[in-house]
Amino acid sequence: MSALLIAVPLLIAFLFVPLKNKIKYILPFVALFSLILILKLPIEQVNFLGGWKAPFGITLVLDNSSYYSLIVVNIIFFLLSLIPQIIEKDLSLIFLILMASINGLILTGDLFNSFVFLEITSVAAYILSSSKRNYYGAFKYLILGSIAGAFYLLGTLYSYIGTGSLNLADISKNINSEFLAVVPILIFIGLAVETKIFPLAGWVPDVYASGSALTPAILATGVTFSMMYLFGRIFITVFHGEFLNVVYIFGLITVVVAELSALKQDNLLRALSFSSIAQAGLFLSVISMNSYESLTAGYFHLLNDITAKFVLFIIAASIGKSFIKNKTTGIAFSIASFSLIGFPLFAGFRSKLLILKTAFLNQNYILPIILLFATIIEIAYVLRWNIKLWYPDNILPQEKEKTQKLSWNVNLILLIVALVIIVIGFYPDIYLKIAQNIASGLTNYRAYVTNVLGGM
Amino acid sequence: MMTIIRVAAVLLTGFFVGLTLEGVSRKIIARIQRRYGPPWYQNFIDVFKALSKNGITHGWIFDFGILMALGGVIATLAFVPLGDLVAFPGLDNLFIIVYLFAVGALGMAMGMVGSGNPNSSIGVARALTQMLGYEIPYMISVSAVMYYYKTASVSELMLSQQDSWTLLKMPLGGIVAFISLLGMLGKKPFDTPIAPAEIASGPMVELSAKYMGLLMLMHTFSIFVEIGLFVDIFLGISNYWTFLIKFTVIWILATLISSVLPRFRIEQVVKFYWKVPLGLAFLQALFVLLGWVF
Amino acid sequence: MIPISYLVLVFLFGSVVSYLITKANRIVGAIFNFLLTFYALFVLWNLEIGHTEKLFSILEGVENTFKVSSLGKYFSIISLIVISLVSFFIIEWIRKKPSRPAAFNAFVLIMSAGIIGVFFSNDLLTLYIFWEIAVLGSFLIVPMGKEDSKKAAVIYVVTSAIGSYMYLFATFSIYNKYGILEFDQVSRFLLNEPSNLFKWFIILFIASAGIAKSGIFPLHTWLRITHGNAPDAFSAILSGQLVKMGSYVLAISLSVFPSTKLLASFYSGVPLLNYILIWLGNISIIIGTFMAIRQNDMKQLIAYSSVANGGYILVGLGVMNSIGYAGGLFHVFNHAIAAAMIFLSFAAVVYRTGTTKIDEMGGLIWKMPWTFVTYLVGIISLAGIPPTSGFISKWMIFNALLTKGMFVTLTITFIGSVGSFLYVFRPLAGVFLGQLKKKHYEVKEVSPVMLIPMLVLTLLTLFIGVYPKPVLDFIVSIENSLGIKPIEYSGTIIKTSLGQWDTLTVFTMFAVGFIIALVLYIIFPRGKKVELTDQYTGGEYLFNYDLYHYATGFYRFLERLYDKHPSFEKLYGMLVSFFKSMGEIINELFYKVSPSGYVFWISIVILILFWVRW
Repeated sequence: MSALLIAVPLLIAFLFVPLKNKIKYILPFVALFSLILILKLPIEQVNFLGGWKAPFGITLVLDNSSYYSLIVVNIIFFLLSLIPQIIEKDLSLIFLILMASINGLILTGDLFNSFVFLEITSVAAYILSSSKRNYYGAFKYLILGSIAGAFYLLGTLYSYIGTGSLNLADISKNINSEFLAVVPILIFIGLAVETKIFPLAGWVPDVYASGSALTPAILATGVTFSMMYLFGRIFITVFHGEFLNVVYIFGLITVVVAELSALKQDNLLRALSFSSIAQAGLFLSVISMNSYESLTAGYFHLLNDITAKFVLFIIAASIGKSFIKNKTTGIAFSIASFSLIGFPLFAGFRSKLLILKTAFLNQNYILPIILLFATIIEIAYVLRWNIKLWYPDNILPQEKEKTQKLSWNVNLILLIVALVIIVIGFYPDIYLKIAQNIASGLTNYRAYVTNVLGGM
Repeated sequence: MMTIIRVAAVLLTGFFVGLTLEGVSRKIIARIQRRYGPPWYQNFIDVFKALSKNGITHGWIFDFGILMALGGVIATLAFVPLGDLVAFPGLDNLFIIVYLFAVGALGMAMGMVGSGNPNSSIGVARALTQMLGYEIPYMISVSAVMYYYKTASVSELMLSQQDSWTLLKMPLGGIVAFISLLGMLGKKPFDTPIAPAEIASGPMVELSAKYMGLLMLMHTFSIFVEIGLFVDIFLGISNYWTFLIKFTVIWILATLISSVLPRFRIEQVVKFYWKVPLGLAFLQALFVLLGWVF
Repeated sequence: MIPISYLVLVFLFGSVVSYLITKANRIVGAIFNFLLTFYALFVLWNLEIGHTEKLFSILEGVENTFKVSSLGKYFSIISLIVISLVSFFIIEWIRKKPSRPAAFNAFVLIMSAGIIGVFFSNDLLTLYIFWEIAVLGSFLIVPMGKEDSKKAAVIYVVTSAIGSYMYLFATFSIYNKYGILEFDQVSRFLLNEPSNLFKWFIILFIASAGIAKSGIFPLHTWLRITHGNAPDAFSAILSGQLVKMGSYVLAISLSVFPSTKLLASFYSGVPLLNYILIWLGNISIIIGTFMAIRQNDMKQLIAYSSVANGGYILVGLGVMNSIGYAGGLFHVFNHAIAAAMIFLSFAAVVYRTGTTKIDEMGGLIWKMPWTFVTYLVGIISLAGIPPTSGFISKWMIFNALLTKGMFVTLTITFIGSVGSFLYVFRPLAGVFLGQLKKKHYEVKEVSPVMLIPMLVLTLLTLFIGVYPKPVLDFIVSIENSLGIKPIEYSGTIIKTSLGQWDTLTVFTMFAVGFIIALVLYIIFPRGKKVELTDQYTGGEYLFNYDLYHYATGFYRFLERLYDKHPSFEKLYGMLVSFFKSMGEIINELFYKVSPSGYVFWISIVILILFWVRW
């Protein structure tokens, strides 16, 4: 059943190639279909493709963590598909392919297979990022992505040499020290580009700030989330937390460096993309404390971040120089930015508290300091942008005429998401439950191995 | 009832002795300058003559400022013990006197600036700046005294000097307080706010007749407050009569010093006060903290 | 009587209501705001000490609650007095001023909700949450002011964040170590804490939120730009109320966590930590006073004066003996009321003239006498001159310092006190006195709606100055609840070890003096009223009396002495540009490079990784 999640979007994409202009209107239905399908699926189910048993064939694993990750990602796709305005007509196909590949990426239980989906995702992302004639950014992304892909493939090869298997569960069972010396490094570099780790995240600002609303809205939310899931799956479940100390340091460096870079940006989208990098770095350093609590805190924070970024990026790309004509949009933007900063009443505050608590619990005092320092910088630029948009100076009347009102469906969806942010601020249980499930799925690698390989 | 009589006594002493001594000081200056000089009662004549004329006013704030100045200074004077003549026993807190005194200063400043003449504004700005100069060393030196005797009541400070005068116990503090006193009195070399040749008598430039008379009264009373405090705090126990004698001596001393000195520029005043007297005052405070009191 | 938590909710939802009402009619919206804040004042006034309410629980083991303490009640009543009176002022003011009245009214209520929450929080986390709500509400209002206000808002919120994040860090350290966050429990644990370093760290970091908020050196720079550029009526709340939130946190860090019992005495009963904080207060007084003397913008001038007065409060609280602590708390009241009065009178002036530059005005007393009276009483209180209430607190602080023998601090408080005569006189002379400018001939007094709150504050200052018992009662109950020896007073006589004074006698004597002067004034012949243009000019004929007004460079001769002073604003500006250029370098090196550059970085990373791993 879970294979349908990959197959259906792909199939529809192929079927509708001749009807490129109409495909926009199919998207919501496809997204809704896969969402419903996921909700119907039972958890703890392993799907062996082609009937090959676990270590030998390709498996699609649906456990706690992948299940909830799928829900998150597909909700994002669904929400995006309801805003057809931002999807340029050529990109609808890519949208479907991306959906299929991300679903696959999350579901797969095979290292090589994950490489394939990673590449498909990347290709789709390259094409997405070339929208609005942003060829240079896309080219950068392409080069980096390809190098990273090569490293990922190398890692896959080495792990096959080291353990004789490509199945994640099998690798997890058979890892040895020789293997651990090489493979994590290669995989880390392979994933570093997509998880936006310093200094390999150079593509991010160029791609996110292309001016298209869809590119950052999907890359910074859905794709990032799936990459983070994959990262957790490989490094926590498969490598049992090996190598995470290096990730921790890289994560912290990423936070500081990205926030500093964001400070001087005079383009809102660029500033937000640096914030996105910083949050990714923060997330990585939080989960590299490698405990159930820290993973919960990390994924909770990631959820809050992508919720906020979803709103922020769409608005930043589609609004002009001010909120003069789009007050509701402005309110959504402000709510999302307050959540990003972590003001009380908003979702971001809860995850920040949780991170602080976890860090202190682990006797880790560096992370809170870096987090709070980074937040201060983030406050400076995020709020500066808020003020700039709410209280624009010297807007000419002609410009005011030119700014268009966003259509009602965009506003509605953005407001709903903003409302979710506030609700999460008061009752974080929904997000917390997702995060806890993902965390428990990732940390409990014995259950994973047993689940995939059968009771051995 | 007794309080009312005592207050009246203090005020009348201030009026008569103050005006007399001002006249005397004019005489002394004249003699130093080898002139004959006016009679000692000249200031009584001046005040009453000024009060009886029709002058000009610049609106209600001008009038109100003068009333506030005179009222404030009268109130202040009532709290100052003149030897054993204490109008409000136990309530003569030094801080109260110093700050109540500021009401009068503020009233005068407000009224004079209210006249709209820039000369008076400049004079007031200078007067306030000068206050920043002399007030700090003065307050530190008297604070050292208060710390030593563990009281802030002026009459208790006076009564604590049974064995010897504070001036002798804390000579540095006494010197500082005297230098500050010169600044408070506006005597040369610290008469920058008035500076007749520069800014046409500064604050007083627009005063005439009754207004001039009232401010002369205020000036007399404030001299009484300033010197009276110094006498009470530094010059030993005195009754009413010895108080007046000590008062006269200090007043004449101040007059003599001022009559032979030129005038500081205003920033020189501040610089001077914050260098020498402030340093000495700190030294005195340090001595008191260490218990090095004669 | 509704519970406090409902009151907070009423404010939060009231902000939406206020937004909608103001959209329809801005005056009705402002009236709604006033009624709500006044009702809150009424509710808070009737609260019983010790009343507790459960709120929610975010961290396990910590029940977030509201608890009415004497300290919180005192601060909250002061705050609500200021806020409700300013709201009354806004009823008229909002007709002309803010660009977005609806948002303005809504944010005032959000901020007030946060403020009420802060003062009744019973634990560190609840306080933080409401603190940030208050910051959020006020931050959103600031950019509605003058042109620089957008920058001001960012500076304000960043400074505030520096303080509050240090606070949050300390909060989590406490939670991690003891597992509790309630104030009395924390102080009990701290008393048993063996590590001095930890106590220092906790008190300093908790206090730093207060330092940032009340504009104490080294986080004082936001006050000038924020107070100076915020919407005029809102500056009254900023300086009169929000800054006092900082004083509240300082009071908590010094007295609720009993610093004198926690740490060993350093100098006559004052621990070294308190001494350091007192010195921060001293530096604030110096900076505030001397910078205020320099300002030509009246709002920025009083903003610097807020720095100095924040310093006074900290000095008073830091001494932590009966009289000093009382002086600090009393000064909170005095400065709140005085700053509100002064900023409201400025708001009235700006409402009519449209400028805040002192030398662009003059002689407004002839057009706006009641505004002038408010300003006059406000500055008399601010400068600490009897018979207003401002003197009482200064007197207490002087007494406390003197009994402790802290002469240097005493000197600095004297400098601040005498310096305040200088700087408050500058707007008095420049704006209200002197020659009326031609362009202001048509200016009128503001309407009674604006005058009423100003005059109410005036009367309050005079009343407390003569009869300070209501405030002293509060202070005694606070000192009792914190285990500090309460100050002694009977009727209007306040006693210390250095002697006593009677507010009523002083006031009566002042009245008597004034009456004597008045009698003299009446019995002697009347003067002739002449125009201000009829002046002694040294024989010159003047064509333009606008120029015959001395307001530019009022204290230039004094300012000259410290023209080359070191500026922390510049230093922080340099720090920001340092961070920015760091960001620029990083950006150039890592994020902007061409694809070949990335390949280079990837190889570097691989090399590092392999080097680290083997």
